Amino acid sequence: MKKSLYILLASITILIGACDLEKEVDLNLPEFEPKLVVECYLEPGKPYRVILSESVGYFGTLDLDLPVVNNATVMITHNGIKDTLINSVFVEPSPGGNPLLAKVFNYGSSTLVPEDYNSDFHLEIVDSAGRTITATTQLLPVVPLDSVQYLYLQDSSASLLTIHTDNPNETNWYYRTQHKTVVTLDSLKGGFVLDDELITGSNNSMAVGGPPVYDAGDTAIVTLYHITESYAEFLETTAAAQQNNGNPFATPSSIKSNIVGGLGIFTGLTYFRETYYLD
Amino acid sequence: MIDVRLKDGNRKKFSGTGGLGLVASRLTLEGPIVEDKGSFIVSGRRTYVDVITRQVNRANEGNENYNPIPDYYFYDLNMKANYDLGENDRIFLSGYLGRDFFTFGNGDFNVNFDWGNTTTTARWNHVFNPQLFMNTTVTYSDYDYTLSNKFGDFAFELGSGIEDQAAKVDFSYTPNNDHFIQFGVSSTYHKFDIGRANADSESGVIEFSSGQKHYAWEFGAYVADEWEVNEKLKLDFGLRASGFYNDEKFYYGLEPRFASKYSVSENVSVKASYARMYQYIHLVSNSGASLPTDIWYPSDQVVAPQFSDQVAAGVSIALGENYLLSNEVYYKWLGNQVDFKDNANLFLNDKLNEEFVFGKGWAYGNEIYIEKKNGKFTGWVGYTLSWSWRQFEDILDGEAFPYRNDRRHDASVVTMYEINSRFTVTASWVYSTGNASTVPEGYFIVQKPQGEGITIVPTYVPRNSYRVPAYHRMDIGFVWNFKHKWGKSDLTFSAYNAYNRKNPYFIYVDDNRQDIIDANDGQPLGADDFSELEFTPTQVSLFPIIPSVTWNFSF
Repeated sequence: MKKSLYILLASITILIGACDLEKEVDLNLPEFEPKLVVECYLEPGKPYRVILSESVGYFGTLDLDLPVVNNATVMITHNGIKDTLINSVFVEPSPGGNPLLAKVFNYGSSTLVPEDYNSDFHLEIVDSAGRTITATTQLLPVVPLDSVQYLYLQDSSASLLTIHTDNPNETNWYYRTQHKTVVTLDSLKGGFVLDDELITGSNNSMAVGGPPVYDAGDTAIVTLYHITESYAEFLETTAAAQQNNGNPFATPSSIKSNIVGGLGIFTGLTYFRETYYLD
Repeated sequence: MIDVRLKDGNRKKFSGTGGLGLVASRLTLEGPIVEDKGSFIVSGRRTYVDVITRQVNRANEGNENYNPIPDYYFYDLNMKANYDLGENDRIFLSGYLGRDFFTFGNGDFNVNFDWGNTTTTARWNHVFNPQLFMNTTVTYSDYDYTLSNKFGDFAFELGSGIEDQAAKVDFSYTPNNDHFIQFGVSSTYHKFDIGRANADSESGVIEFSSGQKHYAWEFGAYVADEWEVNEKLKLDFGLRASGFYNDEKFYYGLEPRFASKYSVSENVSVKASYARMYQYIHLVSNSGASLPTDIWYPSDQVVAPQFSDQVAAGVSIALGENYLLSNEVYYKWLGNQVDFKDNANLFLNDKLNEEFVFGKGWAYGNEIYIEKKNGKFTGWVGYTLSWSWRQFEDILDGEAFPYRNDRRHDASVVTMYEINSRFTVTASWVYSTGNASTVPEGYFIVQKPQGEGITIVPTYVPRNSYRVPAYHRMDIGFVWNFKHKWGKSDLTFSAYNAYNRKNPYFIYVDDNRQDIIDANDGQPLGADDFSELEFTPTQVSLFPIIPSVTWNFSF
């Protein structure tokens, strides 16, 4: 008996010692080939802004704060008018003044994005190494929220259910975000990409619920973006790429969007935004 | 999927064998139902590492840096009974029940994962005459898994299952000493429950469910002849017709097979074979780790059956009385292979077949095997050198890539040395090339529109282009035999993964972004923070060294 007790204790000790089952390893990866990354959101009435950067290997050194790519030729063409953007630093402060959430661009122009829902916008970039990016997008009309309902939870908190009408004659994608508590867009948000195949309601209405949860006295800023299929794919594939890291259940992911020759997104950005005070 | 064979019970007297161990215990009992007319055998096992790990977790309660060890156990139960109805008729009943349970809880977060298999079989064996036998078998089997998560008051459950009801009649006919003819028919009704998912919160705000069911029929009819042409040559011909009906679609195929064996001399024989096979149920694996959550998907309007053609040739040489050497080389063509497209959405998806892509594959290799059969020192060494490729138009622009289980080298060594009648030592070692895997290699930064924080998006190497480190492990054992008045027993000391190799289960890249966010009082990542980012490739392993002691007995 004594002997088996000893064996049991010894086994447990070894088991504990051995149970550190995560360890740092070296990945012997082939040399990383950086790809151009572009982001451009065309918001009617706002100037053209582009950020051009590069993807980075995990184990290379990063000298800059952001791996930006300068000295490229960046052109946006709309209705036959070609705009060549200036390579400089453009900072758009966050609406709430949080410096961490300010947006930085390295190409811009004074041309304002026209509110034209009919003709395409084309992007063309050639960098100093001769790498080329092209993309095409368009603006989509704003889809308003019809109503917002409170879904009360226990202890008097509530989540929001937003309802909008989908045009049944076309395939649409939406991206809905909510910002809580702070009266600006500075707070963290919860977002959903929606495909109109999910429709279940009558009158072509789409109802979207979910987090966050609000208490009395909170403010909610709800934004409904009417987005292109490429932007929906980009949002979903970038989210999947993040989730798949460390997930043994994951399927391989590759980033999809309308950018030819690199990564990123070139898209119109039209949205309906409303602030709600919860009492 | 699980083939469980249990010997028939002892028809003369009641007896038992068992084992009491630190990790698991088992017990087998057998005996006559009516002496010389029927017998039964019942066997069960249960592991209880969970009892130990639970104590370890309790001892570390309150330690912030401690990650609780998940709870894991399994049990299984086997039963078999046979009875002679008369001179020419015998019935067999058997059953199997096995289930694995995995539980992990940390604060508000709880995961329960259990999977298991149930099978029952009834068989009637009838002898028409010394040349002709018939076996009629009815089987029911059920496999399912359930993975449930609970986070606060939000509950989420995923599951899948297959339930089969099958009947078959097999005949064996021996017209003379040269021929052994087998023929029969079979039919199986499959019920698939794929991707069942439910989510709800106690408050009822979130509630949804998804999943799809398929009801399919599978048929088969075959005839085969083992023909001993002469003392040196043996031929084996077979033809099977198979069919599958699901989703208003009927698929069928003819599966010929042929094998031959020629004895060149008393010590040397050569063999060659060809076989075509159809597979109507597809195993679609996630490319990451292998888990019981792999999806079994039936052929339907979109998914056609898989088929394969395999040719093989081999030689066996007896080296003296003690050694056997054999070598076989094979090539396999695989048609209608199924895999997931990039970014496939597996969960909460009622149209899973839209996430599949179809292509082909091929595999080839050489297997060599040496066995020492007699003496105090026995054992064998096996080594396989192989390649396995897949090619899909929609993956990697149609370039061929290594299959997840493509293993260039696969070796195993099993040895046993009998010191004397009381002591025996055993050791085995396995080695295989690591899985072909898809790991992150770099990242890019997405600034996102106004109102959203910057995100870091990983990019991955091309599918299955990264080789995970090799898997190898040694298991050792020491057996100490005892004799008693009531029977025999032994004490077995063993260690699984004796040199505590941390075999890779999956690899991910960890980063310190949460530390940066915490240091900034919860502020989201800003452009100034990127120079502080650090990335650490991290490997997760499953089983460490597991030493154990078992007391085995038989009476």
